[in-house]
Parts: sequence; C-alpha cells; structure tokens
Amino acid sequence: MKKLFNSQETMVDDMIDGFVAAHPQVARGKNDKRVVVRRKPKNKDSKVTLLIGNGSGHEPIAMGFVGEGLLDANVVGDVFAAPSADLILDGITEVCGAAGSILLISQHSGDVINGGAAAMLAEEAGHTVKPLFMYDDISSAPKGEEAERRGAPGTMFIYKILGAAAEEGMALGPLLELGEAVRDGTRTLAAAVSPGISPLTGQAMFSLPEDEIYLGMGVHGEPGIGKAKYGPVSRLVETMVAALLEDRPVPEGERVAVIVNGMGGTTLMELLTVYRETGRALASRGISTVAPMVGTYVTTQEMGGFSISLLTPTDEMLRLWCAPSDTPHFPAIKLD
Amino acid sequence: MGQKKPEPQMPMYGVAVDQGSGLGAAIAEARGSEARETDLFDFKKAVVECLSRDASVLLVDAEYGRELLPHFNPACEKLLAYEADVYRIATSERITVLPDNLSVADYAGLGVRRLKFFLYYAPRGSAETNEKKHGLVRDIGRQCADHGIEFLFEPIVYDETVTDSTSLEFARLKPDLVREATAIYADPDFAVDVLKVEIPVNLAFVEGFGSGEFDRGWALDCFRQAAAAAGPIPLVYLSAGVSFDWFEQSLRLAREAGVNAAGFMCGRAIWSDAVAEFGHGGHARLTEWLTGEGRRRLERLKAAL
Repeated sequence: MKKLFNSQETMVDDMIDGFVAAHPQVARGKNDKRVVVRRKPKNKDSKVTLLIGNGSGHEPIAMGFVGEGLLDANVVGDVFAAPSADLILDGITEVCGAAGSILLISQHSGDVINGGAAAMLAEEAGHTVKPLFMYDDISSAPKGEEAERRGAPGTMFIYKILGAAAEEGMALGPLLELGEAVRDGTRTLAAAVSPGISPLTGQAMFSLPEDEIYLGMGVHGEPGIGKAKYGPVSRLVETMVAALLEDRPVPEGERVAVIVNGMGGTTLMELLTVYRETGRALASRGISTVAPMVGTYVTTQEMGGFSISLLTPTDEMLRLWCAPSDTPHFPAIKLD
Repeated sequence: MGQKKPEPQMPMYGVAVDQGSGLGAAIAEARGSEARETDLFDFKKAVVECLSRDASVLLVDAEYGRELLPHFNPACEKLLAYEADVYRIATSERITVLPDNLSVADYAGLGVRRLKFFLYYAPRGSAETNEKKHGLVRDIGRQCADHGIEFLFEPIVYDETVTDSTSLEFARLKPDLVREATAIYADPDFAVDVLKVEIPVNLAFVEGFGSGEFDRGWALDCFRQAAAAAGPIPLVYLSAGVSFDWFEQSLRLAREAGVNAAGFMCGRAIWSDAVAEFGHGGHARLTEWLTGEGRRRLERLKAAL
C-alpha cells in the first residue's frame, strides 16, 4: 500500500504543519506544537473553552473542528495513540481561563485514563476543568450499561452543540448539563465494509470476506456486534435503524437529527444513498429527519463503511446544532 | 461491572512477540533488498503459528495483535499488550504511550482474557513522575477488574542517575530496584494479577557466568529477595533482551534459589536468531527454524524452570 508520508517519525507533525498553513482559523499552541488552537480566540476569562485530545489518523476529527463556534483546542497524539496526560495538560494550560474548560473525552480506555489524569493535574494547578465523557456506540455495551460504551461519531453532536452554546456565553455548569443531555439523547451504530491500512504497519487493520460486512465496528476497528452478509444497502440500513430505535425508542411523530459519517473510504455517492435509506426507514415509523450532516468526518484512514447517529433534539439543541461556525472542516448545518 | 476474571493459568510458559518498530528495523536490515512492507507481520504470524503449539500463552502487540489472534493454536492463551509501540517512548519521564485504537472493554470481544501493560519505572526516581505512573497502573488495573480481564504488569526498572543499564554500577543497583518495584506493584491497590519481572541480576558480572564481581551466593539471595517482594502475586520472568543461553541459566538460578516462579515470558531470547534465518532464506527457512530450534528452546526453558 502506497502512503504519502515522509517518515513515521514526522508524519503527525508534517500533517499539522500542513493543516495550520492551509487554514486561517487555526494555529499551533504556544507551549506545545501538538496543540492546535483557534487563531483568534475569544477572551478565555469570559468564555468556557472546549478541548479534546485524541490520537491522529482519524482526520478531519478533531483538529478540523477547531475554530469559532466549536472547539478551542485539540491535542493531537501519535497515530492511533492516546495523547499523554502531560500533553493534554499543555492543551488545558493553553486555553483555560477564569471561565473554566470542558475536557471532552471520547470514551476509549487510553483517552479516559490520560484525560482523567490531565484533568486532575490541571485542577491541582489551579485550573477549573471538568471532563465530559462521551459515549454513543450501541454495539459496545448492552442497553442499561450506556456509561460503558465507547465514543463514536455521534459525539459530533456534543462538539457542535456545546461549542455553539459556549460561544454564546453559557457558563460551565449549564454547559456540562447540556453536554450530558445531548450525550444521553444520542445513539450510533456503524457498519464496516473494508479495512483501513495502518500508516504504521502498512497492514490492513482487519480482514473481511468480500461478501460480509462488520456490524458495530468501532472507529478503530474494535469488535462490535459481529459479521453479517453483505446485501442491499436498504436492508442494512433498515437493520441498523431498527437497532438504534430499539436501544432508544423515538415516538411516532417525533423528529431526529441524523449524522451519516463515512469512515474514510466510502464515497459521498454511497453516503447519500445511506442517508436516503435512513430517512425512509425512519419515515416508515412516523419519524422525520431534521438538520442532517452527511460526509466523511471521523475516519480510520481508508476504512470503508459508515455510521448512523441519531439525536432526539430539544428545540434549543437544534438551534445550537444549526448555529453558524467557522472551522476548517465542520460543515454548515441547515434546518431545512 | 466487576466481571469475573479467568482462572490464572499456571505455569505460564510464554512466548512474546509484541515488539514493534525495533524488530521491524532488524528484520528490514536482515532482509536487505528483499525487504517488504509485510515482513514484520509475516514474521510475527510465523512465530504465532509455530510456537503457539507449545507455549501455554503467547503475547502479541496492540498494533498487529488483532490480525494475529486467528492464527493462535486453540490451546494457547492469548495475551494482548495494551501499549502503543514501546519504542516510541521518547519523553524523560518514560511513560508508556497508550493506544487509542484499543480499549480494555474490547478484550472480551476479541476473545482475549489477559492484558499485559509495560512501564519503565525508577523506584528511586522523581516522586512526581512515580505518582503519575502509579495512577496510570491503578487505572488500568481498575479497568481490568471492571471487565474481568487478567492484568499482567511488567515494570522495567531504570535509575535516573546511573543511566547505562549494562554497567557494573547498574548491576549493583538492579537487584534492589527490581525488588522495590516488585514490592510496590504487589500492593493490592494496583489490582495486578501477575507480575512480569526482570531477572534481578546481570549475569555478565556473576561468578561462573561473566566477569565475577558478584558471587553465586549473592545472586541467589537477589533472586530470593526480589521474588519474596511479590508476596502472593504470581511472578513470571521476562527475558528482556538477554541471550537464550543466559535466560535459560537465569531460570535455573531462580530454581536453585528456591523461587517458586509461576513461569516465564520469553521474547527475543527464543526467536532473535530466526531474524537472520528469515533474512537469508525467507519464510520457508523462518518456519523451519521456528518449528525446529524454536520449539526445542521452548522445551529447554520449561525444563529449566
């Protein structure tokens, strides 16, 4: 597999160099080159700041979402490696002011351990930092054990809604409550059709026969519900929507916001087809869709596949989800 | 949560092939112009296929491990490392980089009930750094307990002032460092199920093996004291880059000292010579060596313990 890198040792820093050079909304942090920040930050003594640490290899998330109306910083780890507690602490130090910060933690063991440690170190250093654990993948733990689930692309609802609310001046406590409410109202399920190739090993990250898909696979190739026979996309999406609604029922007549996320190697043509089928599966149950986000945002290299995320939004959540933002990669979300 | 952990499988006759970029570089050098991107995976796969027949447990890394798991002999226990590439530990604190593509919660779904975590540890080092390391190990231990995963912890000792680990000065320190690290992590607070520890003496300076600065009785005492520090926690020895012959001799010394070791985990000592075979003769020579000399070595280690 041919990949366009200079070397394993420099691939992450080379990418960040290109990223900050290409996008006027972002810059490197002052204290650590692995921290990406807003180039024109708001006053951090009056605005709660949001940041997240994650391994690289999943772009555009999360550095692509740094900017006005979304994240204040992203701490970028090595490829498929959780950033260290010290590195996350550098990110907190960079953006945390008197208004405090929320450290978003997409629930994976390494991120939870290092993020938790960083938040503790930051508190000891006098910063007001609250971690918000994000989990939405219904395949990773059964119903009733939601807090054990891993983070998946539905976490983008939290990024955006909290980002918009923080931009408007919401205080730390209400922001945390809002974040928890969005998290609790979000469910995601993924289907993988082909593996990504690790830039570290040059190897496919899992193997899958041509006639099978993997239902419930995590963004890194983590195990999910299991393999299923490949078939028409309408049938696959129907199965996934049914599972999502069984996990968190949505009453007939209700509306849901939808994210259809491509894993990196699935075309927009396919993703739009998935969105069409998602809308049909929901409509057949009397549920309408609103303010969709369809595209490739949370990736694992060229992995083929997609996820469907559903949020039952309040009016306020929906307003914030559709609020303007200015980041390198988060799209404009339209209400109609 | 708090799921039931698997029964400890003892004795643990283990083979480790969790090495990352360092092994990849060695293979690439051995293969020369024949080097291919898939060489490291192919090497690991051959080790798994050939040695999991006789090993009771085999350790693979987080990066390649998932693709290696289907190649295990069914009777061999799977042990999956919870680390990003250990060769990428570049900071002065030497804290292990955690993977973000693998969670403790994923182990059961992968059919793996045992997790290994590696950490450089200086018992006499910075209190602030050690507090971070204790917190890290405690967190992993807690997650293992929550998910019913056996936690095998591997502290590799170092000293912040005596930095040459091959020196006589470090050899004087090492028994105490291993004992102190073992005692600390045997505390139930860390929820460690098995301690994977270094041989506490450097045979290069022991009478009858190397230059003889230390006598055999001293070496036997070092084994006893370090092992006693583990208390009730089962203890397995790792080869940590020593030659096969010296690892075998080390296990015999441990037995002579009366140490009731629960087993061993042997990596490079058992298969490092196979790298050259792979370089010279490709996959066929590699598997021939592993199924011949590799399996013989494993049997010798079992006998030594």
